[in-house]
Amino acid sequence: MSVMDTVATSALEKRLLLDARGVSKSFWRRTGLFTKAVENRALDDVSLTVATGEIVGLVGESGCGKSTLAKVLLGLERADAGVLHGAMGAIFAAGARTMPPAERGIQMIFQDPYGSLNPRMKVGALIGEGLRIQGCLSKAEIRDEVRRHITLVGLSEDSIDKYAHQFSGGQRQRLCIARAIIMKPSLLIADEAASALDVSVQMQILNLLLDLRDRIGLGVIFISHDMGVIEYLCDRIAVMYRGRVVEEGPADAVLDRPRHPYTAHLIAARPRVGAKRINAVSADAFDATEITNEAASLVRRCVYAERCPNRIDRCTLERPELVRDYETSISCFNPMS
Amino acid sequence: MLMSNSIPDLPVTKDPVLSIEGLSLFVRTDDGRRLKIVENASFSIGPGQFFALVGESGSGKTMIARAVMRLVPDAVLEIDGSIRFGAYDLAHASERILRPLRGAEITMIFQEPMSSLNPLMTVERQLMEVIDAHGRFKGPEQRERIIELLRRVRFRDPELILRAFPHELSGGMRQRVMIAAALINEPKLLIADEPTTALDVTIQREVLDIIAELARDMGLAVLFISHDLSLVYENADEIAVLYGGVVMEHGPARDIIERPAHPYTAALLACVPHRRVKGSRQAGIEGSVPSVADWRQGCRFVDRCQQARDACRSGDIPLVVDGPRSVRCVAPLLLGERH
Repeated sequence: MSVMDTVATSALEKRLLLDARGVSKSFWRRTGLFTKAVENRALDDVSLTVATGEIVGLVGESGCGKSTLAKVLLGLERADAGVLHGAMGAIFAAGARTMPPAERGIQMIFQDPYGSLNPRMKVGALIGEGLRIQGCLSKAEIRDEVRRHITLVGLSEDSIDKYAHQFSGGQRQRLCIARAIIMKPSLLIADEAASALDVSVQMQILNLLLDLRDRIGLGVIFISHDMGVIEYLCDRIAVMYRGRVVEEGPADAVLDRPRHPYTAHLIAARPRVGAKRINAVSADAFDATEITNEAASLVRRCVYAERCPNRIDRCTLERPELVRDYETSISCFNPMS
Repeated sequence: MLMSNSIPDLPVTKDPVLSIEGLSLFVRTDDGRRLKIVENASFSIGPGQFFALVGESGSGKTMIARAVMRLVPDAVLEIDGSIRFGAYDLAHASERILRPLRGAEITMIFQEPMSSLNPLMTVERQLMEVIDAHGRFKGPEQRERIIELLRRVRFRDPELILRAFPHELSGGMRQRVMIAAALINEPKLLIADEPTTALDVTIQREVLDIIAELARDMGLAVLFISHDLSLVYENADEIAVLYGGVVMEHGPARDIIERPAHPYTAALLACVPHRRVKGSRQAGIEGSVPSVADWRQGCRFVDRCQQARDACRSGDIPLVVDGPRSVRCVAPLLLGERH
């Protein structure tokens, strides 16, 4: 544990593990042979920071760009514009050398622990694969590292000679976490990492992430659509809608006093035991326009205008920018009071 | 208080639509073993009632749903006990009886709507197919019925939806089309197997509301399968909590959520994440759901239960009945304390 302890002490000084500014990414899609390609802006001027030991929740419905942002950070997709800084220095800037994914100090765990572990490899090889490819350590050293990390995530040492199918869903997710943190990342991206697990096991994984944050000062971007999990885990929350960050701030402020109407809608829609029911805004207004008006996000207007109960004339004429507003940052002309 | 191992007389709404009694399910494995996956389950659903069957993966909830529909071949799934639907016992009915029931009297919607829709057909053609197959509506009535149903599932412009192909619709819209298709022939029973799991939170709510509203308005019995207690809490009339193939607790929804009697239900509710105050943690449930092959005598939850005692590990666990509620536990919480 000695290495872990030294990391933990150095982690006490807060520093930025990620500083993303104005990141944009578009996908172009051709609808027919002779038609012009249509732009689908998956990320539109997104800014986000994560500091040491901070868990930032990224929420929003499917298609809002959460996963595209994760891919851009990892280097699986290239951003069109913006500047990315990581703990290891500049990751990406237009016109400059892009840092190779392996050097970024960013690792990821996925939703489905069944799909992300090779069934033919033993745990020792699975977890140690990254280190082996890196080629800095001997076989024996890698095995020691693997052993240390599987105990760190709460599995027994003899797991090292088992296959992935011999573990339950929760244990497999622990293996995925071990495989990610063995590379000593400063930042871990967890994409719906608890959603595929049973309710009774989900809490174990959330607590493990909290432990790792406390012990090795790991920064985490936790992507989820489950507001309950976000509330339990996160220090800060960024709410995304159609490629834009619409609200960002400390978890308590965003959850208790949401300022953007979309955030308020998300919180109201959350199933909650024992709480009074708030009627959700119908999604149909949005559904109907989705067929006819795909590239609505490109129009100079608020991306949420179609569904927004607070809409004023200005919302359809001008695009709100993300600005500081008391406790949080919001992009809205007519926020909730 | 009444203790017994026999099937209790559960409160039954007048003439239940579906009545399951002493249902046990067995699966035959490739190596010839016979595994019991559901043990002695009993419940009934009346017209207009929203019944939620809640359980984690491997608890047998989906297999119960499929047994009602008889979707699994007899060679794989063996059914013990009775599944009464009107005059029929679905557990032992022949294919000749089942065929006209499926899709007309009993319908089902699934988790992933896209895999139930044909990507090459417009919504109109798919719905026409459903309506044609059972011949309840004829000629111009068919289209009227389709439009009416699309309105009921809250499409503002049904004509626009009729011309659309499935890929042009969002996940929530597809699921609403599936609900329309399921209800088009005026069924008496709708089985919904995690229909909102693949949807966004904001859409989940609406789909649930639509199902609950239709159940009320059309006198439809709903068997709703879910893994999430907090999701069904608001819409369900009754809840049965399933663990390891055993109905651990059963009763009115609000009652169960507010005063869980089985330690498992209580632990499950404690797993719903809340805000941490000053770094506090929620414990969750230690261990994991036992797989079918590891089931032993006694209570299935015993290894993870805080209240476990010797009596839990052997023999049959008694069913404790208290008014509309029942719980299968040696030492239930709360229920006993009130007496």
